[in-house]
Amino acid sequence: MLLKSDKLVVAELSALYEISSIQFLQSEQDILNEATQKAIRLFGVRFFLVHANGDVVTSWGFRDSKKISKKIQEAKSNQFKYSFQNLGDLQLFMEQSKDMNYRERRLYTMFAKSLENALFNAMNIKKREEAEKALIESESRYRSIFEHTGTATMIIEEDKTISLANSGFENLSGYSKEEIENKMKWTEFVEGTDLEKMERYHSLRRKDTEQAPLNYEFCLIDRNKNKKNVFVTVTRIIGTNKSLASIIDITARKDAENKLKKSLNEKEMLLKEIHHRVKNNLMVISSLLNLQSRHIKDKAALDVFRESQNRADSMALIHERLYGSTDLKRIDFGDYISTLSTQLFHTYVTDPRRIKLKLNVENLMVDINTTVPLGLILNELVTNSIKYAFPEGKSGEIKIEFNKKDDEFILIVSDNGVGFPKNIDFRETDSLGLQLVNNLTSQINGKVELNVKNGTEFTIKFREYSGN
Amino acid sequence: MKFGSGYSTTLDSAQATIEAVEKATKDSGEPSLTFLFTTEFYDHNVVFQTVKKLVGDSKILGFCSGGIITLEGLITHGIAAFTLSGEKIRVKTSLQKIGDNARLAGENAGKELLSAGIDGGIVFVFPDGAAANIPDLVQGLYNYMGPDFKYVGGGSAFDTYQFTEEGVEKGGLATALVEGIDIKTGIGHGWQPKIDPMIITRSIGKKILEINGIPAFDAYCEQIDEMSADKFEFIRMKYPFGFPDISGNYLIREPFSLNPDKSMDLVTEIPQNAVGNVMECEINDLIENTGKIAAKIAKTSKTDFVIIFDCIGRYLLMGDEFHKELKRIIESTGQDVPLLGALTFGEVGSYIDVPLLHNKTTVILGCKFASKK
Repeated sequence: MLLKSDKLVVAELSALYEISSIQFLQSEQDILNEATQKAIRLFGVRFFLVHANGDVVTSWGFRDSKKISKKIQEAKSNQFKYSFQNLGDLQLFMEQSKDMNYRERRLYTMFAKSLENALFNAMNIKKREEAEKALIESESRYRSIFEHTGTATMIIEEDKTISLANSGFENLSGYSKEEIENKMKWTEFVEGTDLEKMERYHSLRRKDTEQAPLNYEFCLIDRNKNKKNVFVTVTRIIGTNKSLASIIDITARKDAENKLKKSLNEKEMLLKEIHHRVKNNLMVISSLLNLQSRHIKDKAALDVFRESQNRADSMALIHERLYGSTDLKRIDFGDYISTLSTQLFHTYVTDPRRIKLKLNVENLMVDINTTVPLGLILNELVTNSIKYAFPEGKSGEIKIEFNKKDDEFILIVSDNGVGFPKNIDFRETDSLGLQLVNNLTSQINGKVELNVKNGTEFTIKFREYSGN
Repeated sequence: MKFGSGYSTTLDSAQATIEAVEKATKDSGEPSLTFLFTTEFYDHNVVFQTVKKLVGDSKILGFCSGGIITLEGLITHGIAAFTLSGEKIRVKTSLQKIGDNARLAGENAGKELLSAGIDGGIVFVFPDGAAANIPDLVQGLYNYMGPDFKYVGGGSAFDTYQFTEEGVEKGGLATALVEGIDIKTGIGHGWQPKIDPMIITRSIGKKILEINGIPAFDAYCEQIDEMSADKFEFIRMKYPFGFPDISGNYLIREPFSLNPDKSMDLVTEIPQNAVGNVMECEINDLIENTGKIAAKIAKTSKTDFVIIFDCIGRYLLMGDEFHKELKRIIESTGQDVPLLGALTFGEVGSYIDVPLLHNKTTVILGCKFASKK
């Protein structure tokens, strides 16, 4: 049996152990519950309160919670108050019925410190658990993203080992993740020049990320030695020497692309052939007109034949340009103007010293839907100038200009000859040539203007017309 | 204000009730509050119906105890009534089911008691002593009502019935807030700690699995020379556990049963990491301690009547010598002072202000009608 004097010592030691045992708990709520229980059983406190500036965290013995704020403002010798230094605004309040002696105050202080440590540890544990949970969630989220990128994806170590691969890469390579991860290097899936190139990129990427290309194509060799065309995007993972490679199998796309190219080539050939045949047919028409014109004695009729022949030639020239060009839909109209006008001069101008041709044309590409009517317009205007501007052996100059201002093309055919008769409205004339000029200008949604100040000057303005 | 007491050992439930209540009301007149202590083997629904008819509008508070303490001695089979009358007495009762949440039952009782607008007085607490977490129940009650009241009472023992004027409940909690009586309370047990403290290193509720890191019973045996498993039924009553507060008052927790895995079930919960001792006693020391408590109460003020809640475990340990404990109380409080008490299974009382649930403890109330109010 203990002596009476020893009882207080044993009681105190028991209390100290029980106080320290609060540390064994991990949940804040468990700690607060246990602390309340111990304060009641060991100290017999009639009020117990943990609060943050009056906001109750846990309380015991307060019949009227409204009186809590008043109670914690009091300063009585039977009360114990303690601010938890490490827990923000959190404070402990306890009250016993009788005045507190030194021994009780000392034990209460130790109790408060133990409670503070326990809560501090619990909060840290809670924070750590939350951080770990967040990390696990984050890892899970990224793993899920990694798994479901829709592409074959892998993480590559500095020594070229594949440390992580997703199901996409399993499918692409034919190997399982267990066979790949930390066992295979990416170099086992590549060969030849691709391997040399990619090994160089691998080194470059680790020296300077910018030096290695982000995307490129290569040929991947799968488990069954099948070659697959793939498109890879490789980035170095920031802060590490690892890289993330995302691979798309483009074998099917490549095949389709090749087929498409082949098909396109075939169509181009076909189109060239068509232009060639149209040109030949027009040339046949031109030759027929030429042959037939030899039997015509009437000059007027002969002129009609020749004009028709020239028109056929002007169209043939366009088709010749088209099949000779890489662009089967547009021709360099500046070049066309040079060729056609030269041909017309050879046809009509017997003395090149009398009528001179002056060209100021830009090499502008014009769509086929526009070039055919525009070629005919040019044919008519140049022919008119040659035929009518310089009668009776007069000499002069025919000038052709072609340029573009903003999105508007401008074709000017002018001469310094006798000028267009002032009593004739070029829009209402019986001349087939001018009717063609008016109608074809309308066809390309253009405008035609006539200036007779110094000879004759026709200006055709139009915008690119794609037609139907 | 008047009071009266009466008891009957008649076996018939209604008749015993009538006899006890009629004796009591003969002296008190129409009561304001009727305490009713019964023992097992009575039909408590009949007892309740009968007492309701007899006491009119009186508030009723009672429970089935392990025995009834009277001036004439202990009655192990009977019904006792203690009636108080007078305008100054205000009473509010509450009858709750305990269920799975003892703390909530305590809080609900406190809420109902306070609804009467009584600001001070005595709270009598009679829970089912075998229910789980009765310490929590007491804490819940105090937490709701606060330190402006004195809390006393005890748990029902075998037939766990509780009464108020609202009805009878099995496995419940009967409480009453009484204004108009001043009391002096004394509490104690008389056990002394053996030398070596022990740590409850693993416990779940009422079950202690390990003490000092070894099976509970092995650690318990190390402290008791005469211990063996076959003597456990006796030894456990003589050598309970005691857990000290910082003032050196030991809260007793009595072992109740021994399990095959060497864990021990206690009458009342004790938390893990509690530090305590195996307690020891001589019967005479227990009796002497109770005598001192009673004497102290008698010395501080004149009492009109005495109420006692004494642990049934003390009676079972003392056996025939229990009458000596009663004798010492009566010697101190006076043969002419009316006295009524009950053997309880867990006692509610406080060494200072805050009520706890004790085991193997005697709670003595020296009651006096309030002179003011």
